[in-house]
Amino acid sequence: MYSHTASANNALAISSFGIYLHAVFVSLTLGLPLAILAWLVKWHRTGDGLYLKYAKMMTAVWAVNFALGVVTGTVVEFGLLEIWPTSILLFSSSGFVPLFYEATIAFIGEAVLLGLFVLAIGRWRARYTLSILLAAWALGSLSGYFILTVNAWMNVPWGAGGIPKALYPFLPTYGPDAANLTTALTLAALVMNHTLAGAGSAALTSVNFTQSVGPFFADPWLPLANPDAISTTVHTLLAAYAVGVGAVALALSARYLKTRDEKYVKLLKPLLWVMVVVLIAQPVAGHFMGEDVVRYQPLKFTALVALTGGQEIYGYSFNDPVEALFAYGNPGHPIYGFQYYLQQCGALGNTTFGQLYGQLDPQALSYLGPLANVALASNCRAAVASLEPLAPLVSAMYYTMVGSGILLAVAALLTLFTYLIRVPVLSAAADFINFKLLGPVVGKNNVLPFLASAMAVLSAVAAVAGWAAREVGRQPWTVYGLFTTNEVVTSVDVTPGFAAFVAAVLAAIAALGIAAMYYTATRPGLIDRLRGSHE
Amino acid sequence: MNSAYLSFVLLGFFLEMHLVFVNVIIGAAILTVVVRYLAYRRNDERLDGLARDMFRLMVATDLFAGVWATILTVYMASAFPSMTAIFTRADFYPIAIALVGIVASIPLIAAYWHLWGRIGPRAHSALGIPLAASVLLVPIGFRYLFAELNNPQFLNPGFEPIDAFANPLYPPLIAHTIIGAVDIGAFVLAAVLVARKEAGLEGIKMSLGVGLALLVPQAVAGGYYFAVLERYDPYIAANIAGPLLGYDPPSALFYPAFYAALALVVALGAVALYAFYEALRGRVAKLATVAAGVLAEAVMVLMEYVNDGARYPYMFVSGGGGIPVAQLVNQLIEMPPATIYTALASTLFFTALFSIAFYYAVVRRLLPED
Repeated sequence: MYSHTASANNALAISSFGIYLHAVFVSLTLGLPLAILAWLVKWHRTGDGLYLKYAKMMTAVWAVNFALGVVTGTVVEFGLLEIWPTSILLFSSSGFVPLFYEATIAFIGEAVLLGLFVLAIGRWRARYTLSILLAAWALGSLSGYFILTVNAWMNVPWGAGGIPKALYPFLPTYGPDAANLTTALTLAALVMNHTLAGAGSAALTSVNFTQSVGPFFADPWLPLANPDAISTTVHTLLAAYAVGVGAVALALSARYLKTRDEKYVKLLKPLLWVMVVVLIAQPVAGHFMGEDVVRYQPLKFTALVALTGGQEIYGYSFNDPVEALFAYGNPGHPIYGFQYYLQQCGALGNTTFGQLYGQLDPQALSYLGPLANVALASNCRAAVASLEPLAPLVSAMYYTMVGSGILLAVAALLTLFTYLIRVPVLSAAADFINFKLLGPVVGKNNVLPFLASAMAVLSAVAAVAGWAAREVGRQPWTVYGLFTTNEVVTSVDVTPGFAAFVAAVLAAIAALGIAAMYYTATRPGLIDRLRGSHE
Repeated sequence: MNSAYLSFVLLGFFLEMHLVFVNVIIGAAILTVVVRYLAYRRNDERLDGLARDMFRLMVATDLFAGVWATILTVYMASAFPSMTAIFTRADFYPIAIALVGIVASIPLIAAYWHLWGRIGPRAHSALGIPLAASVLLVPIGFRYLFAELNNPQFLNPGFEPIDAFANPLYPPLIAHTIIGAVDIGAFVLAAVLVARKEAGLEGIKMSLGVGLALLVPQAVAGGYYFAVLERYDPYIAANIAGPLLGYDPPSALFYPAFYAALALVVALGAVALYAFYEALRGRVAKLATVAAGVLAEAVMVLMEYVNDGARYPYMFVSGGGGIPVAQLVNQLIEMPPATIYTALASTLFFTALFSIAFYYAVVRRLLPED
């Protein structure tokens, strides 16, 4: 159940690549409107045509990027259904409202308003143009919220109540008991049984599937109120804005360093405000997201601190005052190791799946198959043990994110107090660091582009590492405490050849996408050509 | 209205909305490539301009069709989880083919647009071949799902995913689909061209000519498809043809629509012929040309309604029976009506907004006047 099949590993590899690629395009789709907005506001205030020219150019890049996001999103969506068919359960239960609203409100609205903005920019009055832009950006962000709500439910299955705890005693209760226990047990039995026979997703291909499981989730709205959905959305969207605006800042910095043309610095400055505000807010949002991990994903938290905890994470508990302070608000609070969770599994005694089902859902006993004789405790221990080898990797990703985040905050503060506002003492300190320490190293005139580039690169590093820690740390489950990765993968063998083919297609999209965006970004008149030469 | 019926109707609605745009994409893509090639062979600048207009029409429609595809997919997986799971297993390879088509078409569209006039016309015309192929791969892949619904291969003992390619219903269905899409694309293009301030007579003439010429093979493909349906799906065939052709249809909801669609085809042929005749005489019959575009879309909507609806109350149809919709509909949650109504209101609002923007973009601005 908990050791990945070769097919699952191949599927994980291509899905990870696809999701990261999609995330790159989506980050730009969410960040670029902020850059356009900043320039349009400057243009509106100053009347300087340079800002409008670049806002129009960036609008073309945004449109190209959105199209690429749609393509990669389609691949990810179908990949999800095709490669991980058990995820259809998400579409048809807890994920229904967010996914349906994402498609029918946020995505369609964003697409239409983006098209309208392409027509409007530079032609309509500024207040109309800005309103359309803001609405498109808001709908894009709303789209992010809906999608991240589903991801958050996979991490914190809000509404599953005490069901995961019944199988894994160290897990907490996940909100109210909105999931029907009998149905959950039937579903679990069906999927687990098919997993042992080859692939859990085959359970869904029975034409009697929905009738045999019955009503599962009583409140489809509940996932929207998942506390992890809120913190994940805020943290992830801020990261996306930082990556998107950062990419523009990086490009402008590179152009400045190459040409020494001051117009690039002029264009850069409005973007710095966006970057700084986002990056200063980000640690706060990250802290709340971390609190959710501590509270709802205890195994993941142990894996996250593997590098500072060392071998002690494999023991019962250990002390780490810094992590404990942030996690529990108490530096003396012990951090539990894997042995603690293994011991917790012992609370299940010698009860087998068969006995559990015999008490709670006798009708589903027949679905259990060979699993009926497996002890719940050994199943629980196998789950814990399966994360142990991944812990160093998860931790490395986590600390890469934390380290990048600290550097990002420093860069944001140095930018803020030297280049954006002047505050006694703080600005003097920032000036000292920028011009006395950094200046001699990077060049006196290069400090601003250096800081902007650093914020851009570090934002991307933090986002990549943070998402990896979140997703790899969710192992061995796809839905925390409910469904394992092996239970979700397709019954069609994902061969290395197929995985290589998909990876090659994705790599081609990445290469062509970058080329298309570069092409668009280096042709400022493109949008007018597209809108008609007679204009 | 029970939940199974409502879910079935909604799935049909989302499918229809998707197909309205998809047919324009397929038709415009094929016509672009063919007209571009003709422009190169004849060294005709007006034809080259027409090909560019067709191409812009396709690009403007492409993204919105993608949006509706997402809505359709999400709703299908939500409302019919086991049907979706069956598709992902039984039609794993056809879906992969369609995905490759989607993925490949976007960069090819970008390359085709960028390289127009930058490379030799011969090479550019050659680039149209992979572009057209990538666009066609999408229906080529996804139409296997419809063939699976009409003749479920996964029920056969010892079924393997590769067997999906052997579905006997597929060849007539895909032929009917592709010819129909090019036909619709041609008539819609003629309608778009005629709505412009300075209607290009050559383009209108050619679009109407192609549309008219394809009506005959489309009718043949339709007949072929119906003959195969009659053999494998007498239930659907009876619902489509109704008592006029001697059947005893289980439902009276579909054959009237089928005959209404046939009547519209006759009307389409008549108005298109009139508009074409006028174009040959150097005059633009604006109303008739626009009507031809609207009628072409209306025929598609009605025919697809008949083709997909006539299976009800079954989803997968086999012979005279099948697997009922009610057996496959999602029971894991009760879909909140408020969600459905909000979603419908939102999609209709944004579709209206898109239509207005599309009109101004494509008819008034995006297609530069020559």
